[in-house]
Amino acid sequence: MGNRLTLRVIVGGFLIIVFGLFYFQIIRGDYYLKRAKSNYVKIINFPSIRGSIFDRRGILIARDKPIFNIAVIPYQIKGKRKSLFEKLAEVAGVDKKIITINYQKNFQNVFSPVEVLTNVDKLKALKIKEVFEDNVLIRITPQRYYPFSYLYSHVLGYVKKAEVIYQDIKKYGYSPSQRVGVRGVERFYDQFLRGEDGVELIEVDSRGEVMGFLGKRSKKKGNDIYLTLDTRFQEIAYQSLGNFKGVIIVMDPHTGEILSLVSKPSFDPNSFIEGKDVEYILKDKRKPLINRAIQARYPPGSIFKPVVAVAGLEEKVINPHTTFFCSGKFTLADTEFSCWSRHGQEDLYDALAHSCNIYFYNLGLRLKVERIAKWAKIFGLDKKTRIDLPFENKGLVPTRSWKRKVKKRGWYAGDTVNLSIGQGYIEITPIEVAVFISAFANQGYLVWPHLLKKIKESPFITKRKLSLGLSKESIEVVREGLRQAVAREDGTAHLLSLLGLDIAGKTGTAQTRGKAHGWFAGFFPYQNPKYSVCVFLENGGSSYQAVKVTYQLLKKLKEENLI
Amino acid sequence: MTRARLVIVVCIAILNIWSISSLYSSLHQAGELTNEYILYRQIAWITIGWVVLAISSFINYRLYFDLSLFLYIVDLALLIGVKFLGKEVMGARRWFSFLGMNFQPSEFSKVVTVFILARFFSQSFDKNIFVKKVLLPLGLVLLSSFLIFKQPDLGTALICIFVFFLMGLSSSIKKKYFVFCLITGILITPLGWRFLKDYQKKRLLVFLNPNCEPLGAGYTILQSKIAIGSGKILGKGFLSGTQNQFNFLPERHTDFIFTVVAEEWGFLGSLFLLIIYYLILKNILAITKEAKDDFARYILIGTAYLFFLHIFINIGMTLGMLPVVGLPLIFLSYGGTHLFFNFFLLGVVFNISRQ
Repeated sequence: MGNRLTLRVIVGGFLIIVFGLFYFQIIRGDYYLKRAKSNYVKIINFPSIRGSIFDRRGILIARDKPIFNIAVIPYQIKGKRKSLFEKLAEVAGVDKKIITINYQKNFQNVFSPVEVLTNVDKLKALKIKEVFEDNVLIRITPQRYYPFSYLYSHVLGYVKKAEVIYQDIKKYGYSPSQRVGVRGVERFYDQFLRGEDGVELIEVDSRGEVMGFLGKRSKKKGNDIYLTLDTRFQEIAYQSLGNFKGVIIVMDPHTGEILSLVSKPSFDPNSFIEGKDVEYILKDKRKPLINRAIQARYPPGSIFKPVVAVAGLEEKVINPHTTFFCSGKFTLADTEFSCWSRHGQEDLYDALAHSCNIYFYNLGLRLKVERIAKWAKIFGLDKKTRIDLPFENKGLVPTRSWKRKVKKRGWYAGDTVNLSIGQGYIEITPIEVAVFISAFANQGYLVWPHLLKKIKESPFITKRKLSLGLSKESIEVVREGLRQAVAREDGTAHLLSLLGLDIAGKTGTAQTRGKAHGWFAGFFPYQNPKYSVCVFLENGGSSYQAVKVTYQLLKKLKEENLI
Repeated sequence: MTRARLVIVVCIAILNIWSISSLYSSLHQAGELTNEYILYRQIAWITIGWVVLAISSFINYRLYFDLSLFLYIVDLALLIGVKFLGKEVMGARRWFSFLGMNFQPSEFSKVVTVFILARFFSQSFDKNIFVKKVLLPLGLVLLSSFLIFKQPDLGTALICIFVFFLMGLSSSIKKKYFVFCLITGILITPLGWRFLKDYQKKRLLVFLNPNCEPLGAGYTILQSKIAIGSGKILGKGFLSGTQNQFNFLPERHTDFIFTVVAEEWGFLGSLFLLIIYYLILKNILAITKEAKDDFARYILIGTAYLFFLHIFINIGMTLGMLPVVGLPLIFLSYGGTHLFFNFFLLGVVFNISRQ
C-alpha cells in the first residue's frame, strides 16, 4: 500500500507552499510591505437616490432633496479630534455634544468618512470647508422630503437609515447607509424605490493622498412610483374631516383603485426624517401613527345591516316584502332592546332606509349567528383586504365557537340580536367597509383595494376580484334600500340627496365606550357607480356627523368638477 | 502512549494556542477587542474537541467498518435536510442551527467519505474489482459531493473527490482504473461550469485574473497577498499586522486565518506552522505500521490526505495560487464543526494506534 506515495504527495504539496511563501514573503516581501504601508483604502459610499412617488396626476408627493453634511475621516484627524470638534462647534454654531454623538453614531472604520453634522445650510457648509480645509469633507447626500407633510403621512410612511436594522435586512442586499421604508408605501414598495448604493474604493497613502483607484460600483436610482391617489381628493378629504378623528376612503368600486385615503389625526413624516418632534408624535395619546383605515377596527353598527339583509335574502328567511313591526322596543327573554324610533310596519327597503333595528333583530334571530357570520365572512370582514400597505389588521366576526374559545362563555340569543345590527363583538376596519360596500356598486364582487398605479412607466394592472356568488335579485334589493336611505325624505342620509349625485349608502352609529362612532358608507352615481366612499368618525357622536362630513367632502369635490 | 501519538498531541496543543492567539489578533482592532464571543466559542470548542478525541480514541475503529454505509445514509439525509431546513448565510445553506450553535453537515461528509472509501478499498472482492472497488465508491462520493456542491460549497465537494483519487492511487488497486476515471472526469468537467453559482464562477475567473474585479473576490486575494507578503522573513509581531488591524481582510478569522499568522510571524513563522502540520501528518502515517488491518491503514491514509488537502488548498488560496473555495485551515480557523470532526478523526487514529 502506498504509504510512501502518500508521504511524497504531502511533502510535494508542502514544498509548493514553501516556495510560494518564499516568493511572496522573501523575494517580493519588500514590494508587499510597501503596498501594505501605502494600503490605506478609503471606502466611500454614495447613497442611492430613492425613487420618487407621484399621485395619479403626476404630482410629486415624495422625493429626495440634496442636503449638505460635514464629514471627517477619523484617520486624518487622529490626535487632533478633540480640538477640531471644539472649533467646528464654534464655527458651525452648534453644541459640541451633537458633533461627538454623531461621530460615535456614524463611525464605520478609520478610513471612511463620518458625518458629524447633517443638513447644514449650504453657505455655512462652504464656510466650514474654507476654515478647516482638508480636515473636513462636504458630503451632499439625498434626504427624503414629503412636500404635503400631514396629507399623505399614513399612505406614504417614511424612511429610516438601514443601519438601525441592518443585521435583519442585509441579506436582502441593503448597505448600512441605505434608507429603508418603515411604514406605508415607502415600506411596501421599498424594493422598487430603494435603488442601490454606490461604493468607491480608493487607495490612499498615510497622508491621505490618493494613490490609486481600486474599483467602484455605480449607484443606481430607485424606480419612481405612481399611486392611484389624487392629491386634490386627498386635500378635500383631509379638510372635510376637520377636527374629527377618523377616516375617509374614496375608491373606484370596480377596480379597487383608491383615490383618497386619509386617517386623522395625522403626523408629519418629515419629522422622522429630520428627527424633530419624534418623541412628541410617539407619545401623543391620540395615536397619530396608527393608520385608522387599515390598522384599527371598530364596531360597524348599522352599516353592517346590508350584509345581514343579503344573508336574509340569500338564505331565504325573508323576501323583500316580508315585514316586521317596530314599536320602538324589542323584548327578548328579560332583556329589552330598542330602536332609535318607532317605525311601525317595515319591509326590507324601509328598514334599510330608516335603519330600523327591530327589523334586523327579527331578521337576525331568524338567521341565527352561524348564517350571519357566514355572510360576514363571504363579504371578507374577517380577512385582510391585502391592500398594498404594511401592518393591515383584519376584522373580527364572532361565532359561537369563537366566543367559547376566547370569552369562555356560551353564545346567547342576545348576542345574535346585537350582531344583527353590527354591535357586540363584531369589529371591522374601514377599508373592509369600503370593499364590502363596493360589492353593491359593482354587482357583487370583492375588489382588491390598492394604491399602486404604475412603477416607472409600466402600468400596474390588476383584475383581482372575487365574485361573491350573490343572486342579482338580492343585490338589486339591497341597492334599492341603500338608494332609499338617501333618496327618501325620511331616509337616514337624506342630506346627501341635496348634492344631486344619486348617492346610495348606509349610515351607522356604533355604540362604544365613550361617544358613539359615526359611519357612512356608500357609492354613486346609483345607476353606474364610479365612486364608493367610506367615512368613519371615531367617537364622532353619531352617524349624522359622518353624513355631514360626507356631504362636505362630496360637495367640494363636485364644486371642483372632480366627480 | 506511543511516540507518534505524543508528537501529535503536542503539535495539536501548539496549534490550539496559536489558533486562539491568531483569533485574538484578528478580532483586535484599533486597540479594542471586538466580537469577543468568537474567541470564547473557539476556546469552548477546543475544549470539547479534546473530550471528543478522548472518547473516540476508546471506540473500536472496526465499528466504523460496519457502520460506514449507515453513516453514509445519515450523511445524505443531513445534506438533503440542510437544503430545506438549514439556515441561510450569504446565499448558501450549509448550516443547521441548533441551540444557537451552527452545525455544518458537509464537515461530517468528509469523515464519512474517508470511512466509506476505507471500507470499499479494504474489502476483498473476487471479481469485478473495477466496478466494486472503483466505480461504486466513486458513485457514492460523487453523489454526496454533488449535494455538498449544491449547497453551494465547492471546496468541500472537491475535497471529497480529491480524497477519493488520492486514496485510490495510494491503494493496492491498479492505478490505471483511477487514471482512467480522472481523465474521463477532466474531459467532462467543462460541463459542470453551468452548475456553478454566479459567485463561484466569479471566484474562478478572479483566480485566473485577480485584477478583473478588485472590489469583489479579487479584493480579498489582493489584500491577502499583501498581508502575507508584507510579513517578510520575521513578521511584524503579535498584534502588529496592519492589514489585519485595519480591517482590510474579510473573513480573516475563518478561511483567511493564515494571513494573520503569516503577517505577524513572517516566513519563519509560516515555515514553523508547516513543520507542525507535517509532523502531524507524518506521525499519522507512521501509525500505519502498527495498524492491524487494511481498513485501519486506509483510514490513516485518508485522514492524512484530508488534512493535507485542507492545508494545501487553504494556504494555496490565500497566496492566490488556487481559487478561493472556502475551506478552513484545520485546527487554526474559527469554527466548531470542523474542530469537532478533526478531533474526532484524530481520536479514531489514536484508537488504531492503541489496538
